Amino acid sequence: MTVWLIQPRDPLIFRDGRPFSAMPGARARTLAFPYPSTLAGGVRTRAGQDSNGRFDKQQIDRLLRHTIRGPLLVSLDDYGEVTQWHFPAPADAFVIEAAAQLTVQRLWVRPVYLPHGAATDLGNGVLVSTNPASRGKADSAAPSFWSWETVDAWLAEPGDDPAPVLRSTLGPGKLVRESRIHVSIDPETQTASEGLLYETTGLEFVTNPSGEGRGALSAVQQYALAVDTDAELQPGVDFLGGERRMVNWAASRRSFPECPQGVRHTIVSQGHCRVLLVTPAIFEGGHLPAWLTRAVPGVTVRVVAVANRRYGTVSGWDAKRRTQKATRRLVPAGSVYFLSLDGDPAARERFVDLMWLQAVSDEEQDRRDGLGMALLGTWNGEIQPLEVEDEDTSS
Amino acid sequence: MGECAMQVIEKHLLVCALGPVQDFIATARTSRDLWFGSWMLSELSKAAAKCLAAEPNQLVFPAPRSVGDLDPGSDLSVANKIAAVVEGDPQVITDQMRQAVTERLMAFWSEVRRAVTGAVDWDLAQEQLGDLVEFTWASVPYPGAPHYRRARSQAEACLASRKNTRGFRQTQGRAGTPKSSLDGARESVLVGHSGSMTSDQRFVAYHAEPGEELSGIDLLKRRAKDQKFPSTTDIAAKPYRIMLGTGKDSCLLERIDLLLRDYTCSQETAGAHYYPERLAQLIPDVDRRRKFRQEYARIFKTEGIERQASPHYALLLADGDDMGRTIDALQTSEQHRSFSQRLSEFAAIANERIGSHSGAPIYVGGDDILAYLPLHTALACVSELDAEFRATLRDFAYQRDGAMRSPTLSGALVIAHHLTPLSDVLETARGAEKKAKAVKGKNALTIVLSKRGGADRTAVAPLGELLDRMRVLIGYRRQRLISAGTAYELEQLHRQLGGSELQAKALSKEAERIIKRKYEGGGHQAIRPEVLEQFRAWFGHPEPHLAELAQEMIIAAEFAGAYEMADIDIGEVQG
Repeated sequence: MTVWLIQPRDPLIFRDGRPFSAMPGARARTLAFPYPSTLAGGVRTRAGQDSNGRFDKQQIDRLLRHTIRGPLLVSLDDYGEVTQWHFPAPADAFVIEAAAQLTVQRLWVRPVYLPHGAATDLGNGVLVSTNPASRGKADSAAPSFWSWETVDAWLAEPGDDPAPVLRSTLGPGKLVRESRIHVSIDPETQTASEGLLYETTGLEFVTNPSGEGRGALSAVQQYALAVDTDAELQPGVDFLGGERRMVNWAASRRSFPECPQGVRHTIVSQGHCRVLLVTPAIFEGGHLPAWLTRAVPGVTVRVVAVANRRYGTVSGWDAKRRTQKATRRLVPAGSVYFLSLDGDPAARERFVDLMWLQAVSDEEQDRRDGLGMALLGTWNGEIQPLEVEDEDTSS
Repeated sequence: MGECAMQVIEKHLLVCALGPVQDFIATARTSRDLWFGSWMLSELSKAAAKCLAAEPNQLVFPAPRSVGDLDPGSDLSVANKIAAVVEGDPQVITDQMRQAVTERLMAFWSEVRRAVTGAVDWDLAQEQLGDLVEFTWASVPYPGAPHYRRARSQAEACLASRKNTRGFRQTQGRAGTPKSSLDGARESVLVGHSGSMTSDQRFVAYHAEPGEELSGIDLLKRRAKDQKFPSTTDIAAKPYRIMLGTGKDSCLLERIDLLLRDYTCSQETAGAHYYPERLAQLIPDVDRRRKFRQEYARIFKTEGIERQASPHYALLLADGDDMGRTIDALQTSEQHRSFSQRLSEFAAIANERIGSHSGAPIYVGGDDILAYLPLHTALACVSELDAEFRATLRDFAYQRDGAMRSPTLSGALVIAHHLTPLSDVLETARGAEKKAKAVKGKNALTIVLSKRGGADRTAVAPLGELLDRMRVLIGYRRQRLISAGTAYELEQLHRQLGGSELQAKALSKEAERIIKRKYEGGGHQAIRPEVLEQFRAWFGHPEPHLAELAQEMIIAAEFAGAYEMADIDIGEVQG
């Protein structure tokens, strides 16, 4: 397996399912981050191309068996090598605005017991909450990606920040979106054709660290996508996503982060863990995984609680059958599962090995496509009683 | 002997949330989609609340004065949150509520089945519908009135935790089917895809725009109620139509309508007749479209009308400041009920005011307002809404920055082009509202002028101050007391020297020099002394600073155009 870097030359468009046809006022909008299926398609298409760039349709079945892990957002240095891995901000971290400018505070969303006599429509399910219940306002500018350092610490020791931290230390800000209006030129008159304006919005893989468009050009950080695959690829320029936007493929000498020893040790000894989804996952049970709970013999895996956001949807184009795929719902990246692992330490070790940065979706093909890549974090298995403080009426 | 069994009737405080707001409101393409989505969510909330309206239960939020207010189609707008003190098993009660919501939804759906004539995959649509409503709730024991605040805190905390786990089921999609144009997430249920039917046929069958694909939910929003909603185009056309006068207006409409019949059988609203671009969109063929435009221009030429309608309207997005704090300060359920009722009163007043200012309320409920307003009445309307809000809620107070305050309103007014996609205008409005909420002291307004082909112009200031200044600046433009170019020169001055160490006084002097130099008409008229005095007064204060003032002047020019068209005397604008 080699890590490949996809460096965008143009702003990339990863469209949602909205139809995009030659109608007046058509718009092609991009998702905030590509789905693994898009990258998997990109990898397989590239692997199936001959030296002239022609795709061999006979190869499709073989290509579908390649495994792709990712995509991950990465920072690049001036030589095009990875300097930082970034992961989606976890849903078990509630980020609130802090008093001082540009600072935030993270609160850990963890399994709780409701007060005596209380009930919700979740019935017997275990809820997750900040504890004590927070009245803080969610930070609207909270980074959607955290750098590996931040994630590493959160996996090892989740908890409320004792003091506010600078927002920028958590991770990159939002990727810039670039809008363009396109025309169709009538070859005879060399002017724009009537009514054939359309708009595209693409993702620029840069962030401006100073925000609000006022930073120096030298401070702008360049990003790329990284995938780890067993497919045989060639470096070079290719297209990715909508509107045939160009990217450059290059092999990396680095590999995805390994599971930290401390985290591994703690999970094995405590018999509980958190699973943090790094790419969206598809489960038959909607938000509840099935394969994950029975994949490792000798370990009984139970989902105790879930912290997640609203589901996303994915469809796409079936290249083999040449038709639109059916929509399916995904659990978004960043979702966190609190699990109990009953079994002997050796079995728990096997669980950690099998799951660390591997795909956990229910269907095998989805796993090969990279849907549901997971990081593992610690959890001591504790379910705390929810504390609700009386309002303080001071401002 | 035998014990006397004391029946302690357990009461609970129940808080519920109905959703998903995203599917109902955010995925809207036309103004009607947006209005209907909000209205339908309100109707479903009413149906749920109605289950709790009778004794021994007691509704806290909403708190209608009579049960009839919760009947289908009543005037009351209800937010998607419900709070009540209930007797009995909350699980049983909420099951009843869920049932009531489903019944109401199915009633809407049967309207759709009656109205839609084209071929539809009804099975798929029904599946999508069955999956639509999200109903979450939390309940805590309610030991009695003295414990209301504590119980409420607990219930809200439980509901907030509940929302951290967003459960869902996997769907059974359909391969080979295009997705909805509105959300891209659900499959289209229209059997007549864009390829097989003409645009006109599709419109008649489904009320779908050319190239649009609709899911079952989209169909629900489009067809469940046969009520037209004024479009952005209608609102934008209002000042122009006032200028024409009723006689000329009806004459022109007739002629344009006759012309349109020759080209398409698609319908358009009256206001849209004054925007040839909007009408041209209904004609798919390029050459016929060109012909239509030529003949359209001819109508206006023969009538001797040179001026065209302005394409802009205003979108108002506002809500109460610190509503959470105000509610937290309420001690008893009775106070909360009273607060709910006052909010409903305000909503009714707001609806009426917006209507009387020729606007169209999209959603007015609780402390939220979303409405369209024509440019010649927008500012006056905002002013009145602000005053009414303060008056209606003056009996409530909360603490902020060490002082007691009564609730106030903050919001954004976006001047947009009538053809700009609604989602974009809403996004601009939301961003602008955030800016207003960040102003110290609250009760602030952001005005954004979002013209096509130009950067957005933004002005943010405390509401009363901003409206006062706008009134003065609009008056100056209308009476030609300052030239149009002054604002741009002031902006230029700020850009060049504003960031420098030039003393504020020196900057003001330079600004004054610009004001004096730019006079209207090109003749040798000096600038009026009172105008100069006013600018001196503004320059003398740190707020508004030069850049802000320049933006306000540019925005005022846009309003002035509309006031002129509708012939509104600036003195008519109330404070």
